[in-house]
Amino acid sequence: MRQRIFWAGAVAAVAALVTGGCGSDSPTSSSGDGGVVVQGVLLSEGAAVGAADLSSSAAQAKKVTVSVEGTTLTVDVSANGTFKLSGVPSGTFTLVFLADGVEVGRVVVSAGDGSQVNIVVQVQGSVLVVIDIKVEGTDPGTPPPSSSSCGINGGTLGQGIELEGNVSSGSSAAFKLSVNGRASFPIDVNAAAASFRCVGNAKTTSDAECKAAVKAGAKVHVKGTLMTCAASSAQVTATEVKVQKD
Amino acid sequence: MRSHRAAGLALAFGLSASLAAAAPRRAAAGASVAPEVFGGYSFTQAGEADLHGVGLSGSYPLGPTFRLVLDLSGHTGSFAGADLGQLGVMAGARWTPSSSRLRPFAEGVLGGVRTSVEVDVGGARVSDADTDWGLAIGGGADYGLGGAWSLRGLVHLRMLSGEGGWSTDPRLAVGVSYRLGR
Repeated sequence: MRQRIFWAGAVAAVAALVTGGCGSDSPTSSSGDGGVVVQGVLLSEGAAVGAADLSSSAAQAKKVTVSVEGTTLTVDVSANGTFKLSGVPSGTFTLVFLADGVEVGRVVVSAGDGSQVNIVVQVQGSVLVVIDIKVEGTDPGTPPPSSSSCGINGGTLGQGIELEGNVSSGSSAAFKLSVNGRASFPIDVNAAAASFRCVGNAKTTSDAECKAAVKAGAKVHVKGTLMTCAASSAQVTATEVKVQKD
Repeated sequence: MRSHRAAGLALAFGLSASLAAAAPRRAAAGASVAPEVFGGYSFTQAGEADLHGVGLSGSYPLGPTFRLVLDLSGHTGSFAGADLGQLGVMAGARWTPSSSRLRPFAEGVLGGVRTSVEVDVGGARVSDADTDWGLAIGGGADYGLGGAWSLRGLVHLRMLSGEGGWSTDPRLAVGVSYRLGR
């Protein structure tokens, strides 16, 4: 009798694991067929370039939620930083990121039916930084991410870009850049993964000194990818920052 | 999904309760009281990512039905263009009420899981690592293959604290265990 009770409990528990325990939070609305799948990873604030990594669980104590504006699709970021939204309506949509219920950023994405968006983000203080974003498998008939409303002259969403201007605020990891003639607003530059080089009268002897030279007023040349672009805001993930004058 | 997960938790705890009901009143004669080691394939769903890897564990008997357990696991996989790795170290207790050829067991362990994320951005590598603490409950069964060897299947439900909340992820492992001595 005791063995029977055991097996009944064991089978019920395993069934519950399979049906209810698999995975983390899912979108509150059904995914359905078609649409766009958004998969993402949230890095903690201490994320670093290379092997030097001193981040800890304390660095990311906020509960982050991702939702699609204008829909009921929403999901909590799991403990390990992953999240997934299925059945997102194709076309142009806006991902809204909330940390402890407070909006920290929005990302406008254009993707065709059946495509998958891979996005890597980081919340630095109260600001969302897009580390990487890729749209895969967009239908051939679907136009590429539109940059028609992009406020950067000559900028194409998802493509490489080079900008020159002055740092208006921030530090080497993330700063705002006032560019010369190409945009009427400061551009958010995420340089957490960038290499730094100080030249001319900004020349320094160490990497740390060069990074320290990235401060308000510094003249820099940024090479990277245009991650988001709207009429009055844009985000660039830099691969190289050349400091010309501090 | 949240209600399903809660149901899963309740029923997983139910497994432990059913073990209590199924446990013999006295220690089974001839039950193995030797230390044992386990190694095998392990799968876990870490958040939304499916990770594959290796599970290792060792146990030391405290009596005919209870054992101290040290559980180690390593998993890797990719998600959203990022490479994920996960190392888990947990310790706790296992209850094996039967000493027959098929030996079901239940266990609960406490410990930590360190998750690392690496993503390639324009040729540069961005890395992140984060340690989450929590517990795992579950159970499985050993099937004696003869001698000191047994085939083992294991199911864990891991509850980890991180990102401002708790995540509940399943883990499955299959492999062989070896009894050290008699």
